[in-house]
Amino acid sequence: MIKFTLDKTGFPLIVSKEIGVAFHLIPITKVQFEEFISETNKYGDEWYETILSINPRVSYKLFDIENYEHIFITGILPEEALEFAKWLGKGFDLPTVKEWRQIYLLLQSLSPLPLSYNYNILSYKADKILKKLNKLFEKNLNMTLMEEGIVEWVRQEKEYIGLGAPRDSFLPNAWNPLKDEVRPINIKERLKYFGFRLVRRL
Amino acid sequence: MLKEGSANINLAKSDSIVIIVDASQSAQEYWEEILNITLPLLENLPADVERQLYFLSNAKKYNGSRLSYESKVWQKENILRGSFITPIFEKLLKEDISKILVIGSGKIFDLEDWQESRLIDKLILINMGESSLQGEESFTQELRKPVPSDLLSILHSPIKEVEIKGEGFMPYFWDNAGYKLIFKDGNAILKGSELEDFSLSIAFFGERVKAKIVRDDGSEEISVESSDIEIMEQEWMPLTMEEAKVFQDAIKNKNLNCPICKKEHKPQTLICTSGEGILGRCVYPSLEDKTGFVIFKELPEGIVFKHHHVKVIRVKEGLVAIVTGTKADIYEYDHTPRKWIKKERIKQYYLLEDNEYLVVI
Repeated sequence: MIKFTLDKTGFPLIVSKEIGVAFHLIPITKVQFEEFISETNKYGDEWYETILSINPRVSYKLFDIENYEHIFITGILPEEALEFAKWLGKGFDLPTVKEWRQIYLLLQSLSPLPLSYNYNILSYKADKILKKLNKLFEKNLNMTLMEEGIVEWVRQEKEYIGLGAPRDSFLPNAWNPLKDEVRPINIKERLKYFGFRLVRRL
Repeated sequence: MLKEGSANINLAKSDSIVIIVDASQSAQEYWEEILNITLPLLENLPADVERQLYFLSNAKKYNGSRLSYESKVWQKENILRGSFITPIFEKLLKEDISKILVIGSGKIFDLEDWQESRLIDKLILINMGESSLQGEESFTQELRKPVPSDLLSILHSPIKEVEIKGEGFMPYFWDNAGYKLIFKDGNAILKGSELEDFSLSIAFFGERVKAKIVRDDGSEEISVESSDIEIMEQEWMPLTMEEAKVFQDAIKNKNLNCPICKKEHKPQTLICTSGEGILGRCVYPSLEDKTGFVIFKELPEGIVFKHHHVKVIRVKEGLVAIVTGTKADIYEYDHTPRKWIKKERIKQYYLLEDNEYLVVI
């Protein structure tokens, strides 16, 4: 039986004892990151306008198959993702390459995720987003955006690289996330396809 | 079957206003202008207007009376929170607010998430700079650099009048004496005008009942949903022994011994004209100052009465009595023309359900 838990923004994580983590079901969304910005008083309008110029915002109530990537926070640098992780709570971190791939394989092996009984406990926004994604996609890997999503920051020892296989309309590529790693030329450059999801180690 | 229900309608005459000040980076250049309109607004709002002060992106409530002293500190405390309405709107969802004002400049990033919310209808954006608070969109009213006095009149618009009506609507109890029944052509409206307090509890027949609230700057309609509230009617009071005898003779249609003049009167006489004054006096001294409907009831411990202080009383399902002067008529709801149709003139000591007797004084 799949066990879920929630982060403080009301978004779900799947708990996997086999992998030793609880991991976010979907990448971090703009609405979650906005909650972080408004609480911490550290980023501001100019910073966020830069982010939105790279990957524009679409309301979580209005996204569809054409533009779902826009609900996720991208153009993020690894240290900003880690600031968010720290704010989210103790134990949250970027996954390692190994953990991310294990999550990928786990989701690939599961039958469609039984999310419906969890909708009552999610935040209103998480509930809306997941219901929509569930309607748009049948396969777990798509619904959780591990395929045809974004490129996600992961740890590789002391470095940060990316894993993922966005769809061609967002970023043309031929990546296999189980084999290929996305290494930005400049780690300080904001790239529209780089976002993240977090794990919390058990 | 005509629906029946009861409800509390809470309508504060005065407004409850939320002012959200934009201290974000995008509004920094216009901070003086924002303060220059906010401070006089807070000062000049009438004392009975409830007001709350927030900063954009921050769900913490601030003390408006401290704004002029703390403006620098509070600006710094909020300048890097971005421009988001959600933290405040999520809090306000549970509150009864008349208007929400955002005073600032530059786009509110998440306003689009709230475009179907009822809070958007209450929102007025005040742009003190060059960049719209709603970007390229137009979700709500946005004013550009208004003068404080114009803003005051937009914000504070007390209720002038309330009309309650619906399909087959007929109120038979309400606890706010300022409301009057308007009954014409078989249709009833309950109306209150120029009252200090427009709130009321109401019991009624009818469906799709709505209250139309009229202010200087327009009107709105709210649904009146039945909520099974307890209607606090008058308490039963005992008649004196002498009065009880009058009642018992009346319901047997016997002559009665008048407690006022001590003489005999015809059956069911209610007013003794034998004494002083041309209007006479009620044969029940306990009802001396009452007019309209009075209900009597026989209990083992004696005869009790209750004054029904509104002009309509429920007789039974789909049937009411309405007072006109010192008389009353029975009306029944007819579903075909969807009107209340007059049936008969009520006779005194009309028998209601539960062995209660109705008279009109």
